[in-house]
Amino acid sequence: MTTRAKTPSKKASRASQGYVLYLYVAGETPKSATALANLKDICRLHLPAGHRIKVIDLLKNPRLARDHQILALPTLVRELPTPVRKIIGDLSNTERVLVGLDIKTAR
Amino acid sequence: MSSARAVKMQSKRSRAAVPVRRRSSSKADAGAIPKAGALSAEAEDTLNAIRAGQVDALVIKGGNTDQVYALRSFDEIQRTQTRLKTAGAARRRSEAQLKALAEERERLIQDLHDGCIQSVYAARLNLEACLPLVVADPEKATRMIAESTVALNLVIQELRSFINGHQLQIAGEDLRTRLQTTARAAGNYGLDIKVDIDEDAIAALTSAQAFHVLQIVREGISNAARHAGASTGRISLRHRRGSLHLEIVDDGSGFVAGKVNKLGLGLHHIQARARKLGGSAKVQSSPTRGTRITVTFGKA
Repeated sequence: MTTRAKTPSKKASRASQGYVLYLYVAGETPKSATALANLKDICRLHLPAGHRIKVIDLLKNPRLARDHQILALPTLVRELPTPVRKIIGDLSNTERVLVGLDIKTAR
Repeated sequence: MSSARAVKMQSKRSRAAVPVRRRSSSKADAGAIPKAGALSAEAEDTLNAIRAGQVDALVIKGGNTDQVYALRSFDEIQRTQTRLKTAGAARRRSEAQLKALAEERERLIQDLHDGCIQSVYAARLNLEACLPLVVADPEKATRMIAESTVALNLVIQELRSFINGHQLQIAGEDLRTRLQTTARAAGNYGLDIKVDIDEDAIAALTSAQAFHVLQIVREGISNAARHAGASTGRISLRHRRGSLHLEIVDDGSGFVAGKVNKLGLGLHHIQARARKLGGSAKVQSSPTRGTRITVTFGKA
Protein backbone atom coordinates (compact mmCIF):
# COMPACT_ATOMS: atom_id res chain seq x y z
CA MET A 1 0.00 0.00 0.00
CA THR A 2 1.31 3.41 -0.85
CA THR A 3 1.98 5.85 1.92
CA ARG A 4 0.01 9.01 2.35
CA ALA A 5 3.14 11.07 1.86
CA LYS A 6 3.86 9.62 -1.57
CA THR A 7 0.31 9.40 -2.90
CA PRO A 8 -0.54 13.10 -3.31
CA SER A 9 2.55 13.89 -5.32
CA LYS A 10 2.02 10.87 -7.59
CA LYS A 11 -1.63 11.73 -8.09
CA ALA A 12 -0.82 15.39 -8.62
CA SER A 13 1.60 14.34 -11.33
CA ARG A 14 -1.08 12.23 -13.02
CA ALA A 15 -3.61 15.01 -12.76
CA SER A 16 -1.24 17.34 -14.51
CA GLN A 17 -1.47 15.08 -17.58
CA GLY A 18 -5.21 15.81 -17.72
CA TYR A 19 -7.91 13.18 -17.36
CA VAL A 20 -9.55 11.77 -20.45
CA LEU A 21 -12.78 10.06 -19.49
CA TYR A 22 -15.22 8.11 -21.63
CA LEU A 23 -18.74 7.58 -20.39
CA TYR A 24 -20.43 4.77 -22.28
CA VAL A 25 -24.23 4.89 -22.15
CA ALA A 26 -27.25 3.24 -23.77
CA GLY A 27 -29.30 6.16 -25.02
CA GLU A 28 -30.75 8.94 -22.94
CA THR A 29 -31.94 7.07 -19.87
CA PRO A 30 -32.33 8.28 -16.29
CA LYS A 31 -29.33 6.17 -15.28
CA SER A 32 -27.12 7.61 -18.03
CA ALA A 33 -28.24 11.12 -17.11
CA THR A 34 -27.46 10.41 -13.44
CA ALA A 35 -24.06 8.99 -14.34
CA LEU A 36 -23.15 12.04 -16.43
CA ALA A 37 -24.34 14.47 -13.78
CA ASN A 38 -22.40 12.61 -11.06
CA LEU A 39 -19.30 12.50 -13.25
CA LYS A 40 -19.45 16.23 -13.95
CA ASP A 41 -19.81 16.98 -10.23
CA ILE A 42 -16.87 14.76 -9.37
CA CYS A 43 -14.70 16.29 -12.07
CA ARG A 44 -15.61 19.82 -11.02
CA LEU A 45 -14.72 19.14 -7.39
CA HIS A 46 -11.78 16.78 -7.74
CA LEU A 47 -10.23 17.39 -11.15
CA PRO A 48 -10.16 21.15 -11.49
CA ALA A 49 -6.75 21.03 -13.18
CA GLY A 50 -8.17 19.64 -16.36
CA HIS A 51 -10.28 16.84 -17.72
CA ARG A 52 -12.12 15.85 -20.85
CA ILE A 53 -15.35 13.88 -20.83
CA LYS A 54 -16.61 12.13 -23.92
CA VAL A 55 -20.03 10.50 -23.85
CA ILE A 56 -20.41 7.52 -26.18
CA ASP A 57 -23.91 6.27 -26.91
CA LEU A 58 -23.65 2.60 -27.80
CA LEU A 59 -27.23 2.52 -29.03
CA LYS A 60 -26.07 4.73 -31.88
CA ASN A 61 -22.90 2.75 -32.54
CA PRO A 62 -22.55 -0.56 -30.68
CA ARG A 63 -19.22 -1.28 -32.40
CA LEU A 64 -17.55 1.30 -30.17
CA ALA A 65 -18.09 -1.08 -27.22
CA ARG A 66 -15.08 -3.05 -28.43
CA ASP A 67 -12.66 -0.19 -27.96
CA HIS A 68 -12.88 -0.63 -24.22
CA GLN A 69 -14.52 -4.06 -24.04
CA ILE A 70 -17.65 -2.65 -22.47
CA LEU A 71 -19.96 -5.20 -20.84
CA ALA A 72 -22.56 -3.07 -19.07
CA LEU A 73 -23.94 0.44 -19.37
CA PRO A 74 -23.33 3.00 -18.08
CA THR A 75 -19.60 2.44 -17.75
CA LEU A 76 -16.98 5.11 -17.11
CA VAL A 77 -13.55 4.52 -18.61
CA ARG A 78 -10.54 6.47 -17.52
CA GLU A 79 -8.45 6.52 -20.67
CA LEU A 80 -5.81 8.90 -19.39
CA PRO A 81 -3.80 8.97 -17.28
CA THR A 82 -2.78 5.36 -17.75
CA PRO A 83 -3.57 2.70 -16.73
CA VAL A 84 -7.08 2.40 -18.10
CA ARG A 85 -9.71 2.03 -15.39
CA LYS A 86 -13.40 1.16 -15.58
CA ILE A 87 -16.26 1.93 -13.24
CA ILE A 88 -19.64 0.36 -13.89
CA GLY A 89 -22.91 1.96 -12.79
CA ASP A 90 -24.42 5.40 -12.33
CA LEU A 91 -21.42 6.77 -10.38
CA SER A 92 -23.61 7.63 -7.42
CA ASN A 93 -21.00 6.33 -4.96
CA THR A 94 -18.52 9.20 -5.14
CA GLU A 95 -16.01 7.50 -2.86
CA ARG A 96 -15.92 4.46 -5.10
CA VAL A 97 -15.53 6.59 -8.20
CA LEU A 98 -12.66 8.57 -6.70
CA VAL A 99 -10.88 5.35 -5.77
CA GLY A 100 -11.70 3.83 -9.15
CA LEU A 101 -10.28 6.82 -10.97
CA ASP A 102 -7.26 6.64 -8.69
CA ILE A 103 -7.86 10.16 -7.49
CA LYS A 104 -8.15 8.93 -3.96
CA THR A 105 -6.54 5.91 -2.32
CA ALA A 106 -8.84 3.23 -0.92
CA ARG A 107 -8.95 3.14 2.87
CA MET B 1 -10.99 -14.03 -24.26
CA SER B 2 -9.05 -15.82 -27.03
CA SER B 3 -5.81 -14.41 -28.28
CA ALA B 4 -7.26 -14.26 -31.80
CA ARG B 5 -10.04 -12.06 -30.51
CA ALA B 6 -7.65 -9.91 -28.61
CA VAL B 7 -5.56 -9.42 -31.76
CA LYS B 8 -8.66 -8.51 -33.71
CA MET B 9 -9.65 -5.95 -31.11
CA GLN B 10 -6.15 -4.60 -31.06
CA SER B 11 -6.30 -3.96 -34.79
CA LYS B 12 -9.60 -2.17 -34.30
CA ARG B 13 -8.10 -0.10 -31.57
CA SER B 14 -5.35 1.04 -33.79
CA ARG B 15 -7.99 3.06 -35.62
CA ALA B 16 -9.20 4.69 -32.44
CA ALA B 17 -8.02 8.13 -31.44
CA VAL B 18 -6.85 6.97 -28.03
CA PRO B 19 -4.22 4.21 -28.07
CA VAL B 20 -5.58 1.99 -25.28
CA ARG B 21 -3.92 -1.26 -26.39
CA ARG B 22 -0.45 0.14 -26.67
CA ARG B 23 -0.14 0.29 -22.93
CA SER B 24 2.24 -1.87 -21.02
CA SER B 25 1.05 -5.30 -19.98
CA SER B 26 1.46 -4.59 -16.29
CA LYS B 27 -1.18 -5.71 -13.82
CA ALA B 28 -2.46 -2.17 -13.64
CA ASP B 29 -3.39 -2.41 -17.31
CA ALA B 30 -5.87 -5.18 -16.72
CA GLY B 31 -8.73 -2.77 -17.48
CA ALA B 32 -7.48 -2.35 -21.03
CA ILE B 33 -6.88 -5.97 -21.96
CA PRO B 34 -8.53 -8.04 -19.26
CA LYS B 35 -6.88 -11.23 -18.29
CA ALA B 36 -8.85 -14.05 -16.75
CA GLY B 37 -8.71 -12.69 -13.21
CA ALA B 38 -9.34 -9.10 -14.21
CA LEU B 39 -12.34 -10.10 -16.29
CA SER B 40 -13.77 -11.89 -13.29
CA ALA B 41 -13.31 -8.75 -11.23
CA GLU B 42 -15.07 -6.75 -13.91
CA ALA B 43 -17.82 -9.35 -14.11
CA GLU B 44 -18.20 -9.10 -10.35
CA ASP B 45 -18.37 -5.29 -10.57
CA THR B 46 -20.98 -5.66 -13.29
CA LEU B 47 -23.06 -8.01 -11.17
CA ASN B 48 -22.82 -5.67 -8.19
CA ALA B 49 -23.91 -2.72 -10.32
CA ILE B 50 -26.82 -4.76 -11.69
CA ARG B 51 -27.85 -5.74 -8.16
CA ALA B 52 -27.69 -2.07 -7.15
CA GLY B 53 -30.04 -1.22 -10.02
CA GLN B 54 -27.44 0.99 -11.70
CA VAL B 55 -27.20 -0.76 -15.06
CA ASP B 56 -29.31 0.12 -18.07
CA ALA B 57 -28.03 -2.36 -20.59
CA LEU B 58 -25.59 -5.16 -21.31
CA VAL B 59 -23.35 -5.41 -24.32
CA ILE B 60 -23.28 -8.87 -25.89
CA LYS B 61 -20.49 -9.52 -28.28
CA GLY B 62 -21.48 -10.73 -31.71
CA GLY B 63 -19.64 -11.95 -34.78
CA ASN B 64 -19.56 -8.72 -36.74
CA THR B 65 -20.95 -6.25 -34.31
CA ASP B 66 -21.88 -6.08 -30.67
CA GLN B 67 -25.49 -5.84 -29.54
CA VAL B 68 -26.81 -3.68 -26.73
CA TYR B 69 -29.59 -5.32 -24.71
CA ALA B 70 -31.69 -3.31 -22.30
CA LEU B 71 -31.72 -4.66 -18.78
CA ARG B 72 -35.12 -4.42 -17.16
CA SER B 73 -36.47 -5.89 -13.96
CA PHE B 74 -39.85 -7.60 -14.10
CA ASP B 75 -41.23 -4.82 -11.91
CA GLU B 76 -40.03 -2.25 -14.39
CA ILE B 77 -41.47 -4.20 -17.32
CA GLN B 78 -44.78 -4.46 -15.49
CA ARG B 79 -44.74 -0.73 -14.70
CA THR B 80 -43.95 0.05 -18.34
CA GLN B 81 -46.74 -2.21 -19.54
CA THR B 82 -49.20 -0.57 -17.15
CA ARG B 83 -48.03 2.86 -18.25
CA LEU B 84 -48.40 1.92 -21.92
CA LYS B 85 -51.83 0.45 -21.27
CA THR B 86 -52.94 3.61 -19.45
CA ALA B 87 -51.45 5.80 -22.18
CA GLY B 88 -53.19 3.68 -24.81
CA ALA B 89 -56.54 4.02 -23.04
CA ALA B 90 -56.01 7.78 -22.69
CA ARG B 91 -55.07 8.03 -26.36
CA ARG B 92 -58.17 6.07 -27.37
CA ARG B 93 -60.32 8.31 -25.15
CA SER B 94 -58.71 11.37 -26.66
CA GLU B 95 -59.23 10.04 -30.20
CA ALA B 96 -62.89 9.31 -29.42
CA GLN B 97 -63.30 12.84 -28.05
CA LEU B 98 -61.64 14.32 -31.12
CA LYS B 99 -63.86 12.23 -33.38
CA ALA B 100 -66.95 13.33 -31.45
CA LEU B 101 -65.85 16.96 -31.69
CA ALA B 102 -65.22 16.64 -35.43
CA GLU B 103 -68.64 15.03 -35.91
CA GLU B 104 -70.30 17.74 -33.85
CA ARG B 105 -68.52 20.43 -35.87
CA GLU B 106 -69.57 18.74 -39.12
CA ARG B 107 -73.17 18.58 -37.86
CA LEU B 108 -73.17 22.27 -36.91
CA ILE B 109 -71.75 23.25 -40.30
CA GLN B 110 -74.34 21.11 -42.07
CA ASP B 111 -77.22 22.45 -40.02
CA LEU B 112 -76.12 26.06 -40.43
CA HIS B 113 -75.50 25.64 -44.15
CA ASP B 114 -78.60 23.62 -45.00
CA GLY B 115 -80.91 25.21 -42.48
CA CYS B 116 -80.27 28.77 -41.38
CA ILE B 117 -78.42 29.96 -44.47
CA GLN B 118 -80.99 28.48 -46.85
CA SER B 119 -83.85 29.98 -44.84
CA VAL B 120 -82.22 33.41 -44.77
CA TYR B 121 -81.46 33.12 -48.47
CA ALA B 122 -85.07 32.16 -49.21
CA ALA B 123 -86.34 35.10 -47.14
CA ARG B 124 -84.01 37.42 -49.05
CA LEU B 125 -85.26 36.13 -52.41
CA ASN B 126 -88.80 36.49 -51.16
CA LEU B 127 -88.24 40.10 -50.12
CA GLU B 128 -86.51 40.88 -53.40
CA ALA B 129 -89.46 39.42 -55.29
CA CYS B 130 -91.84 41.43 -53.17
CA LEU B 131 -90.17 44.80 -53.89
CA PRO B 132 -91.90 45.45 -57.26
CA LEU B 133 -95.19 44.32 -55.73
CA VAL B 134 -95.26 46.95 -52.99
CA VAL B 135 -96.96 49.38 -55.40
CA ALA B 136 -98.38 46.97 -58.00
CA ASP B 137 -99.94 44.44 -55.63
CA PRO B 138 -99.69 45.65 -52.03
CA GLU B 139 -101.83 42.79 -50.74
CA LYS B 140 -99.50 40.14 -52.16
CA ALA B 141 -96.47 42.11 -51.02
CA THR B 142 -97.83 42.20 -47.48
CA ARG B 143 -98.43 38.43 -47.54
CA MET B 144 -94.89 37.80 -48.81
CA ILE B 145 -93.38 40.05 -46.15
CA ALA B 146 -95.39 38.16 -43.53
CA GLU B 147 -94.05 34.85 -44.90
CA SER B 148 -90.52 36.17 -44.77
CA THR B 149 -91.08 37.24 -41.18
CA VAL B 150 -92.25 33.72 -40.30
CA ALA B 151 -89.25 32.22 -42.08
CA LEU B 152 -86.85 34.55 -40.24
CA ASN B 153 -88.49 33.69 -36.92
CA LEU B 154 -87.80 30.01 -37.65
CA VAL B 155 -84.17 30.90 -38.33
CA ILE B 156 -84.00 32.67 -34.98
CA GLN B 157 -85.42 29.55 -33.30
CA GLU B 158 -82.83 27.37 -35.03
CA LEU B 159 -79.99 29.67 -34.03
CA ARG B 160 -81.22 29.61 -30.43
CA SER B 161 -81.15 25.81 -30.59
CA PHE B 162 -77.54 25.97 -31.76
CA ILE B 163 -76.64 28.29 -28.90
CA ASN B 164 -78.33 25.98 -26.40
CA GLY B 165 -76.61 22.96 -27.93
CA HIS B 166 -79.85 21.20 -28.83
CA GLN B 167 -80.03 18.88 -31.80
CA LEU B 168 -82.59 20.23 -34.21
CA GLN B 169 -85.62 18.01 -34.69
CA ILE B 170 -89.09 18.45 -36.11
CA ALA B 171 -92.23 16.39 -35.73
CA GLY B 172 -93.34 14.36 -38.77
CA GLU B 173 -96.58 16.30 -39.17
CA ASP B 174 -94.63 19.57 -39.05
CA LEU B 175 -92.51 18.34 -41.94
CA ARG B 176 -95.45 18.55 -44.33
CA THR B 177 -96.10 22.17 -43.31
CA ARG B 178 -92.42 23.09 -43.50
CA LEU B 179 -92.02 21.52 -46.93
CA GLN B 180 -95.10 23.32 -48.20
CA THR B 181 -93.83 26.61 -46.76
CA THR B 182 -90.49 26.04 -48.47
CA ALA B 183 -92.24 25.31 -51.77
CA ARG B 184 -94.51 28.34 -51.44
CA ALA B 185 -91.54 30.58 -50.67
CA ALA B 186 -89.81 29.27 -53.79
CA GLY B 187 -92.94 30.13 -55.78
CA ASN B 188 -92.64 33.73 -54.72
CA TYR B 189 -89.37 34.09 -56.59
CA GLY B 190 -90.38 32.17 -59.69
CA LEU B 191 -89.74 28.55 -58.85
CA ASP B 192 -92.95 26.57 -58.97
CA ILE B 193 -92.57 23.51 -56.75
CA LYS B 194 -95.14 20.73 -56.38
CA VAL B 195 -95.17 18.83 -53.10
CA ASP B 196 -96.26 15.21 -53.13
CA ILE B 197 -96.04 13.56 -49.73
CA ASP B 198 -97.26 10.11 -48.79
CA GLU B 199 -99.07 9.97 -45.40
CA ASP B 200 -97.43 6.61 -44.64
CA ALA B 201 -94.03 8.18 -45.21
CA ILE B 202 -94.75 11.02 -42.79
CA ALA B 203 -95.95 8.53 -40.17
CA ALA B 204 -92.83 6.40 -40.58
CA LEU B 205 -90.38 9.25 -39.92
CA THR B 206 -88.74 9.98 -36.60
CA SER B 207 -88.18 13.61 -35.59
CA ALA B 208 -84.49 13.37 -36.42
CA GLN B 209 -85.22 11.85 -39.82
CA ALA B 210 -87.83 14.52 -40.55
CA PHE B 211 -85.24 17.18 -39.79
CA HIS B 212 -82.71 15.64 -42.19
CA VAL B 213 -85.38 15.32 -44.90
CA LEU B 214 -86.29 18.98 -44.52
CA GLN B 215 -82.64 20.05 -44.73
CA ILE B 216 -82.04 17.94 -47.84
CA VAL B 217 -85.09 19.46 -49.50
CA ARG B 218 -84.05 22.99 -48.57
CA GLU B 219 -80.62 22.38 -50.05
CA GLY B 220 -82.08 20.87 -53.22
CA ILE B 221 -84.53 23.76 -53.69
CA SER B 222 -81.85 26.32 -52.95
CA ASN B 223 -79.54 24.77 -55.57
CA ALA B 224 -82.38 24.73 -58.09
CA ALA B 225 -83.05 28.45 -57.51
CA ARG B 226 -79.52 29.74 -57.02
CA HIS B 227 -77.42 27.64 -59.37
CA ALA B 228 -79.77 26.04 -61.90
CA GLY B 229 -82.25 28.86 -62.54
CA ALA B 230 -85.07 26.31 -62.53
CA SER B 231 -88.67 27.37 -63.12
CA THR B 232 -90.46 24.20 -61.97
CA GLY B 233 -89.70 21.38 -59.61
CA ARG B 234 -91.17 18.61 -57.51
CA ILE B 235 -90.65 17.27 -54.01
CA SER B 236 -91.94 13.80 -53.31
CA LEU B 237 -91.67 11.62 -50.25
CA ARG B 238 -93.04 8.11 -50.54
CA HIS B 239 -93.12 4.93 -48.54
CA ARG B 240 -92.61 1.88 -50.73
CA ARG B 241 -91.88 -1.70 -49.74
CA GLY B 242 -90.54 -0.77 -46.32
CA SER B 243 -88.28 2.02 -47.62
CA LEU B 244 -88.68 5.76 -47.79
CA HIS B 245 -87.94 7.53 -51.04
CA LEU B 246 -87.31 11.26 -51.19
CA GLU B 247 -87.02 12.89 -54.57
CA ILE B 248 -86.24 16.51 -55.46
CA VAL B 249 -86.50 17.25 -59.15
CA ASP B 250 -86.02 20.51 -61.03
CA ASP B 251 -85.92 21.59 -64.67
CA GLY B 252 -82.94 23.87 -64.26
CA SER B 253 -79.68 24.00 -66.16
CA GLY B 254 -78.22 21.11 -64.16
CA PHE B 255 -74.54 20.50 -64.07
CA VAL B 256 -71.88 18.27 -65.54
CA ALA B 257 -70.98 15.39 -63.26
CA GLY B 258 -67.25 16.18 -63.39
CA LYS B 259 -67.85 19.75 -62.24
CA VAL B 260 -69.92 18.77 -59.25
CA ASN B 261 -67.59 20.68 -56.89
CA LYS B 262 -69.20 23.87 -58.11
CA LEU B 263 -72.14 23.01 -55.89
CA GLY B 264 -69.87 23.51 -52.89
CA LEU B 265 -70.86 21.99 -49.59
CA GLY B 266 -74.48 21.38 -50.54
CA LEU B 267 -74.13 18.10 -52.38
CA HIS B 268 -71.66 16.81 -49.83
CA HIS B 269 -74.15 17.60 -47.07
CA ILE B 270 -76.97 15.83 -48.90
CA GLN B 271 -74.80 12.72 -49.12
CA ALA B 272 -73.83 13.03 -45.46
CA ARG B 273 -77.44 13.41 -44.34
CA ALA B 274 -78.48 10.43 -46.46
CA ARG B 275 -75.87 8.38 -44.59
CA LYS B 276 -77.21 9.67 -41.27
CA LEU B 277 -80.64 8.51 -42.37
CA GLY B 278 -79.10 5.09 -42.88
CA GLY B 279 -79.49 5.27 -46.63
CA SER B 280 -77.89 6.74 -49.70
CA ALA B 281 -78.31 9.65 -52.07
CA LYS B 282 -78.14 9.60 -55.84
CA VAL B 283 -77.74 12.80 -57.85
CA GLN B 284 -78.52 12.71 -61.57
CA SER B 285 -77.98 15.84 -63.58
CA SER B 286 -77.24 17.02 -67.08
CA PRO B 287 -77.17 20.52 -68.60
CA THR B 288 -80.36 19.87 -70.56
CA ARG B 289 -82.42 17.67 -68.27
CA GLY B 290 -82.26 19.38 -64.92
CA THR B 291 -81.37 17.66 -61.67
CA ARG B 292 -82.90 14.75 -59.81
CA ILE B 293 -81.81 14.01 -56.23
CA THR B 294 -83.02 10.67 -54.91
CA VAL B 295 -82.53 9.67 -51.27
CA THR B 296 -83.55 6.19 -50.20
CA PHE B 297 -83.53 5.08 -46.59
CA GLY B 298 -85.20 2.62 -44.27
CA LYS B 299 -87.54 3.24 -41.35
CA ALA B 300 -85.77 3.96 -38.07
